[in-house]
Amino acid sequence: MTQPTTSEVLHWQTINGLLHPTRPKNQALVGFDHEFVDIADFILRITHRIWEQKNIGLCYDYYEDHCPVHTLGAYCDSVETVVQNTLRTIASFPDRSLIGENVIWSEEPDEVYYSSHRITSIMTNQGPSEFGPPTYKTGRVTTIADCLCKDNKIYYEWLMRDNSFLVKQLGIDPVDAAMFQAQQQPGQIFNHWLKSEYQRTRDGQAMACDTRNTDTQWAEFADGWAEQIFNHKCLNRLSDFYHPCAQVQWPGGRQATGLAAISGLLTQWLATCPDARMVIDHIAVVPFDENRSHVALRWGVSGSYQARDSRLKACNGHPYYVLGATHFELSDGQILQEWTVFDEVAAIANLLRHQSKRSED
Amino acid sequence: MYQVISRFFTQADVKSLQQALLHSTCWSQGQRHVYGQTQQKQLWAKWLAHVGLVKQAEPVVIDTGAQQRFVLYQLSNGERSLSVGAWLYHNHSHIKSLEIVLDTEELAEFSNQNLEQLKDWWPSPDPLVLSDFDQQCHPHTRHAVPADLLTIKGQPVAQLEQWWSIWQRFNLAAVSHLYAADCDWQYPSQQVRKPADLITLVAMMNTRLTRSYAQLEKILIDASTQKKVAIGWRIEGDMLDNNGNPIRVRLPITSYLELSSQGITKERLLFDEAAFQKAFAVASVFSGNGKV
Repeated sequence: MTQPTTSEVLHWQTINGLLHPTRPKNQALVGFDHEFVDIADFILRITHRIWEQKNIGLCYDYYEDHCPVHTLGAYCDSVETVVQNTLRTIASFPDRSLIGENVIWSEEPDEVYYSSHRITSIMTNQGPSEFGPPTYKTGRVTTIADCLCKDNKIYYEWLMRDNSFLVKQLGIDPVDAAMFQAQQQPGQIFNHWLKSEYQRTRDGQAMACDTRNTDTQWAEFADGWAEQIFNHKCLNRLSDFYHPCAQVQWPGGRQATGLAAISGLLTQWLATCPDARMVIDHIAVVPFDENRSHVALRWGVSGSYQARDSRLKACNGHPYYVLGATHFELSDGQILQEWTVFDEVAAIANLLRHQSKRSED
Repeated sequence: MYQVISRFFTQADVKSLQQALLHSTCWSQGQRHVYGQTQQKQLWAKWLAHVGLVKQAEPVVIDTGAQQRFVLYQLSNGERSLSVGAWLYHNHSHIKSLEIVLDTEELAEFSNQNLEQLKDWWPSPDPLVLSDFDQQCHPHTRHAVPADLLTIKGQPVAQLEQWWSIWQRFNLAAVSHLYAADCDWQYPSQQVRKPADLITLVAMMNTRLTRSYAQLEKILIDASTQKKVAIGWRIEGDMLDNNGNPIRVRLPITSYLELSSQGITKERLLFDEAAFQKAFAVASVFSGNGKV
């Protein structure tokens, strides 16, 4: 009988087992505290300490002083802002729980570890939040946090949260939430980042900072998925990638099982950005068991927006950029399950800000 | 692990149930995913408040020999009985996911309660978006069949392929030769006693649900006998809602089959029409009055 992989051990672990791991240290983790046995352990335990134990000040220990954090709605790069944002989120959603669904990682050059952490949160909106006044309703949301870690600290982060699904549960229409968000100005650095990411993706250039794993087999699979489905819109090629009973979760409550429904889901979404161009910026792959592997992708899509909702018609033709992440469970080279996460509310808010600016000009 | 669910039904043994669940366990019920002890405790409390303790006959268990299991619990309160299906994903010490399937209408009768009140405590479904798609089985498009989900070969697979063609391909002629003469049909709120009834039922569904498409999700087959099978599947299609507007709907269904060389000897169809009607504000998908 083969030894279970780290990924499989974590999959079946109790919360006590996650917080007190007994497996032997299995990664070098040069520069990390001795208590951590691997990068998944580091991510899971510090997340629990900061969010569930409410030890927010630990961000000072586990984030670099200068740590760029990219979301589709904002940018920050100081640990001080990370602490303040975490505090504000907990004040708005005091019972927020962070249930670790999976951590998929890769080892990068120079003792750097890349982790992609998929989290399910249950949270009750008890205070004013980025979506408006409190609704006192409870919602569930999927987040994928991709982090670069070195020397016991996170020094770069991309954060994707399925806010359109969350706000629906809070009783808020996603377009209304986007209109509320669009009233906030995210700052010059964010605006510059959004513009440059849009253009880089439009040009088909993968991220230049060498965070792309070089596992050829999986890089080809991911590139083929992006190229055939998103760039060429050849939805008849879905069967090259997906099992006939594959289950797919996409933002806003889109959920499909099987090739026909997945094709419909992607067709409907791509219709909002018919000239979409996708670039895969990072791939991480870990084995799960003898038959299955887990894959994490971080990607960007850019194109021209075409509204399906009449309230957004004025945004037609505006540059549209999405920062997204996808986790796959694969067996025999086919996707069995997919979780794709991006912030649809922030993406719409960016369109509305662009429209507003054009109107002013 | 299925015994901890039994002990919850019969003894309100919440402690054992909690110990069997992980921090990340997903409990699904009526198209709603519930995570964490706060949410799960609410479900258990509501069950115990409305249904109370019950007796239980020996459940039907489909043991795949792997980590998936399907259990059909047969609950009784002395006057009535109630079937509850459970799809379990476990590793013998903990349950990672659990999907409960039952018929709210049957539960209302079982617990002697008003169906409308019972609908209120049933968890509201997740706000799902059902994307429209091409429902046609074009000659060159790929559509899931039982063989895609089974590693075994032989007669059970052939029977399941035929069975699936009834729902996916509207192959009603298969009904007459696929079922054993003394087949025991049990459908919620539906009277199916002979093949002709089943043909009427499937035909009725196809008149109420246009542009319909049946999709397989999962199949578990008992490893030792290869006679007991549980199939998770769904039908999506267009219906008119209660205001006469066309909407896209989805009905999750669990089928339990017993197979023999004579054909299908038992079929139990589990779905929750009340939850379906609550979720989409539509009438029955199978018939106007609930009877064939």
